[in-house]
Amino acid sequence: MSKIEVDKVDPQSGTTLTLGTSGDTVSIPSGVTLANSGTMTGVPVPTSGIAASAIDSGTIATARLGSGTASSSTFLRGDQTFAAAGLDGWSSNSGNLLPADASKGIYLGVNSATAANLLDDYEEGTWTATIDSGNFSFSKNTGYYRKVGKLVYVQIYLVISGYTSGSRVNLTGLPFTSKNISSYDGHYPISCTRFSGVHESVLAVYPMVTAGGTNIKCDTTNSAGATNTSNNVEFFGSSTQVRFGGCYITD
Amino acid sequence: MAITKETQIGKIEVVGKYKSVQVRTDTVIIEDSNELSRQYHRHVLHPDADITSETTEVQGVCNAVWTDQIKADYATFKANQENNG
Repeated sequence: MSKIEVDKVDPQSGTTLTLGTSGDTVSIPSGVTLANSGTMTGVPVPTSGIAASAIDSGTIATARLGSGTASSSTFLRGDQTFAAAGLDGWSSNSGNLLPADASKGIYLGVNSATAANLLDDYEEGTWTATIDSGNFSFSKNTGYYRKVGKLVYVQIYLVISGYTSGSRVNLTGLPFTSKNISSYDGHYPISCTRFSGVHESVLAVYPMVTAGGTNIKCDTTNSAGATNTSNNVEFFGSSTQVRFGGCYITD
Repeated sequence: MAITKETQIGKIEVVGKYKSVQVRTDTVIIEDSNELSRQYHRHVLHPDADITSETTEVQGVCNAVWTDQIKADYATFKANQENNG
């Protein structure tokens, strides 16, 4: 082992200075600065200890950038981990946002999480109407619903084809239980039209979705008298046809 | 190419003071293991409902949440509604 102390090693003009041979190690001790004011070529990408600003070109192995899986659907976070691109807990399905957890939704109209502004449900489908405790047969009794958040819209064209016995008051089978807002009397008025063949003679009908239930029942006006209104009437008969539609809310 | 139609219980939800059981029945059309369509149909069971025609899964949920106290409270609620509401 020998030591040479010089302030410059200058290869002969037109030649290349070579340090060591294959298999040797040229070591730069800690604390030593390797300054470069010229051009370095053929330098491999180091495995560690290099500033990103010092990289002119080339590709760095993703494993050297961070942990996790590097792919077209991930990105490198500031804490040097690869994470799924997009919102946490959401993905894209044919261009539509899809939550990993079906109970999650979107806060609308606020910039802080407020339960009253959370829209977290949408569903559409059908429901089957019957008359509560009555013995009826039907030609048409399939209704449709749309649920947006806690608001439900229901519609049905009901055609009764027969009645033998039992209650005639409550149409039942709504797809969701209504919110019981105010004891047993906080009903949700809806509307009906083009009714015929009802059990009682009526001038006007005021249907409602019952509070905390899945029924539609009707109040009616039976004559021109403004106060002559009957509650919870036996509306449905053996040949009743009626269209109901309206909204109510759920818990 | 095989197309099949399946009926599944898509959701069972227990809601409200009287533990109404909301059941969503999904009708699913499948072709060679790929789902082509899914349609929903819903019905709700209250504590006084006859559940003998429901699936074992639905019956299990109903029997678990409909205690005697819940049934009694619901009966009172319904009687009040019919008499007063």
